[in-house]
Amino acid sequence: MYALDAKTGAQLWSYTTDSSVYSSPTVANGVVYIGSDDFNLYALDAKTGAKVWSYPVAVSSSPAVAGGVVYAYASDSNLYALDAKTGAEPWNFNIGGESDSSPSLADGVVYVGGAKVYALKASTGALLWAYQTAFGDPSGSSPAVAHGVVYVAATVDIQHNHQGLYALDARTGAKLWSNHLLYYGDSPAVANGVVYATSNQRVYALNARTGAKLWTYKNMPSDFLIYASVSNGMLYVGDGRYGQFAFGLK
Amino acid sequence: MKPVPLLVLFLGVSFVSAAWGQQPTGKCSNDWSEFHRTNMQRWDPCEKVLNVKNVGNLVLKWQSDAGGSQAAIVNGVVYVGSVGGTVSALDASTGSARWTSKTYGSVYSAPAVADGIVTLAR
Repeated sequence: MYALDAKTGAQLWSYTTDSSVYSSPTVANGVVYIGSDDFNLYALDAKTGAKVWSYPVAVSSSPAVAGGVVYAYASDSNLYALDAKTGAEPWNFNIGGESDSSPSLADGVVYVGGAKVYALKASTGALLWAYQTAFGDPSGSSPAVAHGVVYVAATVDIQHNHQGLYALDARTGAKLWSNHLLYYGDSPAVANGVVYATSNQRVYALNARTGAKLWTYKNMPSDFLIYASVSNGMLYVGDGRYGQFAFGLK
Repeated sequence: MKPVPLLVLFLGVSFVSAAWGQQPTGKCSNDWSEFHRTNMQRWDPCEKVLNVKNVGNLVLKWQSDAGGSQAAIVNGVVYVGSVGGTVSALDASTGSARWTSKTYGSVYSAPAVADGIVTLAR
């Protein structure tokens, strides 16, 4: 783990875990939460890098933090909800298989991809609904939630090439639409009625309400770990091998 | 000069007051500062430029080999990590690097930026 000054890039602190870290850190109230393959979820002071607590589970997805609770999916197939201050364990839920899904949170509900797409009550871990996708399972996708809709991609099924993005009603889990674009366990991003998703060297913009394709970029150089972020009229797509691609209006 | 209809004036005033009414909350930040965004939803509720009607006009504005992780964007600066073992701060509109630091290992995941501190994993 590294912490740098955002203005200058000067290193402020580093914290060494016993293994590689593939998950993105999440920062809340001055604490950095980060999973590691060294079988620990760490909470570190963002200013000093001092360890606040650690919890002995391997986490390779990005934790979500809300309402004083950290939600993290671990390689033992459980979603853990831990007290953000102490690391104490209020509840855990078995999502039925290995997953790289980073849980998302909206209106007191945790959404996560595992053997199915699960919606759990954030305060208790009670299962609200589960949705079984038609092709493959959604364990590689971190759901996006906007305006009461959960967007999640099913993982790759190489044999049949049938993957898709699903839009599910956040309250009931009912399917609103799905499509069969190629996706590699992608984690969609949503902004202003548009869903952005990446797959197979392509970047898509879809109508969030209907799933209709609005824009396609076909020239990403690779399909290695591509993720999108949106900010202020720009779409940023990182390609793990070839760098950052920034899109804006003509 | 043509008199301005009263209804238009009225609407104009209500738009202004609606806009003012939103200001005190002041929390609609366009930043996408970490993997989930701070709302934990991977949803930017503050985006006003790109929409269903104009998103078809997106074009590639710039490309940078500085880093291919998911980007964290804060105040017009794009923070990216690279498999080559660096983290960089890029200008959001041009892609030019403001600074680049070594991480002594590949960065695969999005940096998180909060309170002037960039944290990243390798």
